[in-house]
Amino acid sequence: MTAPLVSLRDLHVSFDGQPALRGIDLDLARGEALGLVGESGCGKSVTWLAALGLLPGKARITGSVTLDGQELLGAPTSTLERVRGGRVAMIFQDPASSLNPVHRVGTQITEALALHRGITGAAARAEAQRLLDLVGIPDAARRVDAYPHEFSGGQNQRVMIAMALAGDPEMLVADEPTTALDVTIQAQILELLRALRRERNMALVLISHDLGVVADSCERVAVMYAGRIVEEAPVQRLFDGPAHPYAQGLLGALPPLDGARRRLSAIPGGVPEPWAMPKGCAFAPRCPARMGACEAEMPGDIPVGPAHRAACLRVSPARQHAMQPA
Amino acid sequence: MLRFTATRLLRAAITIVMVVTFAFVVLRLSGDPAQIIMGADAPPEAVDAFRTAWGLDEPIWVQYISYFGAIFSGDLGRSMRDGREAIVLVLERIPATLALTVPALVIKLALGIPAGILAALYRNSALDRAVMMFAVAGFTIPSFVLGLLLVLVFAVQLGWLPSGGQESWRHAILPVITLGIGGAAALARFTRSAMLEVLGQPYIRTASAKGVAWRRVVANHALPNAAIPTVTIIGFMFGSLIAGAVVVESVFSWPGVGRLLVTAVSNRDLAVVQCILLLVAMTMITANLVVDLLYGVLDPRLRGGARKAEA
Amino acid sequence: MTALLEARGISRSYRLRRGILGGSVEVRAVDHVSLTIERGRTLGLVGESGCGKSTTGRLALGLEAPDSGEVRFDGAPMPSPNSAEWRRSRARMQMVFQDPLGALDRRLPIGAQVAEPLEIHGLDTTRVIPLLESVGLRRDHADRYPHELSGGQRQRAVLARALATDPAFLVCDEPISALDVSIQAQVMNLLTDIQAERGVGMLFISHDLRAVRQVSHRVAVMYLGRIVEEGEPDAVLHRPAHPYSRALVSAIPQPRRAGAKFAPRIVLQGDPPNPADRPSGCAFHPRCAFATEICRAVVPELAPRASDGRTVACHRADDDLPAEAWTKPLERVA
Repeated sequence: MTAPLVSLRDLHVSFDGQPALRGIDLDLARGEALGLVGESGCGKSVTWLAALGLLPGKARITGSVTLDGQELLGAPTSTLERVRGGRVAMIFQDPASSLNPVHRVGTQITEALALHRGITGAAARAEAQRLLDLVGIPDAARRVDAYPHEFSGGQNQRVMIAMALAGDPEMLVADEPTTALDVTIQAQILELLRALRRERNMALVLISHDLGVVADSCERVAVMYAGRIVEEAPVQRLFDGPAHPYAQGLLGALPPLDGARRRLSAIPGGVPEPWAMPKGCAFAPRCPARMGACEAEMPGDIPVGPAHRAACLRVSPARQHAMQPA
Repeated sequence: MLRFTATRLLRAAITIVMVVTFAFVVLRLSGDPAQIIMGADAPPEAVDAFRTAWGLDEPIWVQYISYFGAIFSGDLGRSMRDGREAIVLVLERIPATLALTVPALVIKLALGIPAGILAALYRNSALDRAVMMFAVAGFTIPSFVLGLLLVLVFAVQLGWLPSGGQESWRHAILPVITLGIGGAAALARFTRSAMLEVLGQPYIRTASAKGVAWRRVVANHALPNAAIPTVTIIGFMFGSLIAGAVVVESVFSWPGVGRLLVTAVSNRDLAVVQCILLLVAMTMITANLVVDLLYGVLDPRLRGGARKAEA
Repeated sequence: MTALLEARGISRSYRLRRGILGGSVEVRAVDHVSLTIERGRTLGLVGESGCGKSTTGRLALGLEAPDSGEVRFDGAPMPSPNSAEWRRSRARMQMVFQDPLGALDRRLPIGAQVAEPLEIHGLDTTRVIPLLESVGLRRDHADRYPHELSGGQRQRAVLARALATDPAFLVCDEPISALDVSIQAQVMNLLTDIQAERGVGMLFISHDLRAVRQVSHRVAVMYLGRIVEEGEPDAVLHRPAHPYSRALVSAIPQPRRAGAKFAPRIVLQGDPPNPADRPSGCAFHPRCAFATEICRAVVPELAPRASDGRTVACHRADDDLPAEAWTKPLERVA
């Protein structure tokens, strides 16, 4: 197996002493599409903001984040600034407020071009136009001089993507890129991301609360709960046989599109607050399969199958055994 | 644009009419100008003669209408005190006032804006707390208290600076500082909160995520946005260049427009009071108009003609 | 027996100012919409932002009067807003919004907010605790303030308040879209339970077709102020009759199983059109792969189609429309 593009090891983040991430281990291969799912506050966005040093100063970060073997945590600012928007680009949930309202979209794209590819002046403008055209903005030659408020939500997300592509990144982190958009526009943006990824062999981390979105666009999924990854598997495996009770609960909570309508298996209760984190498995208080041992100690990762792991004591040892050679 | 300007001008005219009417009504209701100017023990015939001379014996609405008629024909009336044209009286005081308010404005901007920006950038630091303490103090201490305090320390105790009058530039120092500090405090608070608001916006994170260095994020992405709400208060400060020193001029016996206003009010010198109010209203309105136009320059969302595209 | 709520050909327009300088344009938010909600049943109303589904909800609830057309509640015409009769009628119909925190008063404990409608309508205020319990909240939640509750608990509190006067009709406008997936399931289950117990009729407004299928007995699809298709949820979701419904269903993200029986993904080009700039004829024609001359000229009526009686507003409802016509890849990218 080739070395991963990005490796997170034992990544911890806390704000004012309250834990937000409690030990994340995750690898991303070149060109791979990884989905990161979980509910609000589970730390799925914090993971990547921490990895790129984009959290506010009060965040305490420990562990390791390597890009191509280069450590990013604690790296000099100049290194991080070359990585951000260069090798790793990010797009966010609310495209309208993620673009600066007082600058023309062309200016916002050329800023990235100057920083990462040294293109300025007329050449930068031409490249900005080409990028806008590439992401499907009609009449790019004229629209390069427009302001964000003159675009619709879907078009603004396209502009964000064009800006992200400006640095020719090896990896794109898309944080809830379609949550604020209408269903048919969401389909457009996901289709665009898929096509771009194919063309450029760009790795994608898709952060979403929507299992459907992740299933649709990713090869591998990591499910997060209360600052930890509780299960990681190829998309198909996770949807066919989730191992962790939380992942099972999430899938059961998703209304089916066909078949008989059944009562949804809602997970009772709510996410634990960071200041009242259980000592053992954070999901134990809501878990239907809870045992005494779950509350005593945080479960480690247990292999479930090929490229499939879950942090749950209930995961069957037989499958674990069968897994060993891999 | 034409329609925009027309509505703004109409609104400005209405404001001026309201200001003048208000002054007219208040001054007329609060005492008889003839009696006050002539003195309490003046003979009744003299007072009556004064009334007839100034038209004060007419019914109040006739006075009101003739006053407006005069304003529209460019005649702002004469001082009932010395019979000189009110406008001349006021205009000759303006340089003295500007000699205080313009340097004070420079202090406000030069001190308030950087302090606010730095406090926001280093939020919760010692610097931020110091700025905020200064701002709250400057904001809450009335200017006459501050003025008297400064006089007590620098004029009475230390004897470094004069306590009042207008003989030299040294006389201007204390009143300018008094004016400047209060405004700088207000501006620092306002700039700080505008900056904090902007720094929390997603587009700031986008700029950082794009690899823009933090200095450039602040200069290029945060400041232009924070400037939008801040021009409102700066516009207000420009608008108060003429009338903003009433209290301070009185404390430091500075012969500017403010002191003229105080004297004219206590004398019920109607024409002078109304002339000053008119001038103040017009500077305020002009400042507001400039602020509105500046919004358009600073914020493309407010520029006319721009429409959401339907593609 | 008459339907619980019946809207006949309701329309509602707003005047919208264009910029600071421009004149105003008329925006037809709701255009000749008819719908029926039966007792104890739910009508799901789906569509994208700006399609008029929320305005339809307010009209159905009588919060606004339609410009034309008629809303009848329980066989009688809806009283005009703010009349005495209208205020009395409020007890029988309630609304649940998307943002539960915005719908609650931050300064009042939950119990007091649930008691409020009881006081207004002169009802027994001792019912607060049973109401809270009926939506899955605990007795002690009555003394908590909105910010002390989680998103799901807040939406339960909003529901408890809406149910206080024992309404016959409930309009839920995107009630779950601000909630996390596991909490969405809790609220959907709760809505289904409430309906089973109390026999309320519901209008469930959502952009989420999965949620709509889960809770609704019938579904109406809206596009630019008009209903373009109406029918059984499974009919609309599995064999959508209107081209827009097809695109909407196809846009639902889901795992692509090997041998899936779903048609290839349809990606509609362009943005949802602006209601202020409504295309002629069928409003969907600029984005439709099957549009012909008549679609550009004539507004299609919502009517049962000849082949199987499905209710759809499309000139080509009875034609065979191949899915392949849609699946042009994004040319600019390729």
